[in-house]
Amino acid sequence: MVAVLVLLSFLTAPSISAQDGQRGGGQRGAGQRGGRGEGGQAAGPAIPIPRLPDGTPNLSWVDPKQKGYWRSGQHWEYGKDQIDPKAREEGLPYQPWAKALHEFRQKTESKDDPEVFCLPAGGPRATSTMGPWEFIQLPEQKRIIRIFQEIAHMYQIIYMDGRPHPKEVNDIPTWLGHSVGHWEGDTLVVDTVGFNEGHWLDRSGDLHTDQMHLIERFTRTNYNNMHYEATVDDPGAYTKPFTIGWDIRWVPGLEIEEYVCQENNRYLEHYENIQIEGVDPSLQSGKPQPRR
Amino acid sequence: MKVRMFRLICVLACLAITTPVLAQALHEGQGHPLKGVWQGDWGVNRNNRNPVTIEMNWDGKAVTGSLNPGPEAVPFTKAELNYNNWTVHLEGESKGVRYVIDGRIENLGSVRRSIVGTWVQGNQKGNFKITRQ
Repeated sequence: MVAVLVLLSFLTAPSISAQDGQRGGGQRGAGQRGGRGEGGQAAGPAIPIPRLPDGTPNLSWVDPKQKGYWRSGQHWEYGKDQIDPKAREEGLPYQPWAKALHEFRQKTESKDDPEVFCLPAGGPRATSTMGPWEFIQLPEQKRIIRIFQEIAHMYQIIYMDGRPHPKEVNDIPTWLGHSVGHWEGDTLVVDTVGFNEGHWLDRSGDLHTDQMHLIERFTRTNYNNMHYEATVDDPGAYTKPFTIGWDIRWVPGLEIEEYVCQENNRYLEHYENIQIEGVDPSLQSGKPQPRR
Repeated sequence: MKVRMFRLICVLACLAITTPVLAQALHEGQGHPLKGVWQGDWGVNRNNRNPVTIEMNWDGKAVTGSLNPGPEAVPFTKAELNYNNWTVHLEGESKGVRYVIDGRIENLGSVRRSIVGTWVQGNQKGNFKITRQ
């Protein structure tokens, strides 16, 4: 069991998970995640939040001396990340089947998490892993592009031109869905629908359906901090909406670099041999292993 | 030439019927465990097998679906998941033939999970195995 946990931890740890460590910056090891020049500048005091000419916050950097990227930190179980203290005690408002499936995934130690197969993690999951990411604001194009170093090398387009979601958005659902955004004061509000059901909501195995409607709010509270909140409204899996949130830190001095999760993903070699004791073998993927 | 054209029309017609069903169903499989297109067979014994396709959906309140979607589909009048033991109960009726399907999910953690159990079709009783596509 411990071996499985250790293995999964490695596989979900960015940059060291599925790569051989021989590309893009030489051999890596635990604690060496992330972009070029890790361990760069220390967080500086009281740098003003940069702004675009129209006054909206610049969620990235302007001065090369103050470059960097955002790193969210791991948030494995959203029940504990709910904003409302009472909701935190109660856990997520699961429908019964969703609660049972979440419990099964916990019992099997999240071994079937699609992210360890290098599949994309959309929704709030993209903002709750260790992988670096950044916003690229393109006001002249009225869109914001969010790029992720990891999680299958993905990017998200947030349309800022006032368009609605397309009517057919649920006919061909996608990993990251369809996102439109607007500013409420200094907060970027991103509204996303049209998710497929390919990823887990969080590492613990919380789930969503293609009925999920996600509202995310990004507020750069100072140069080195972003407050994040996400309201998940998914009547397919939950009895009511819930809101999660946390702070995201600015990692100064670094740049996003190439990372290809699929390259040399060793988890695939072990997956079929993982059987968790105490869980009905017929319910588990993977072959039962002889006892030693 | 006419034969080729006829074949082409048949292929396009088949695609037109099946593509929307598959596109709707193939949503990567991490949501409701029954949602998706399932294929396999049933039969009264090992030598007498019949291919089957089952399509199921989840609207947040109920499981809906049909056996062999298409012009000859048998819509389910009852479709239930018991999440305490991951068993499935399906019922349908068409042209005077009643279908009662009881099974249990295997490989729950996989998108290629299966349902295995007993299949009653009219006065015939057999077993079945279907796997999510």
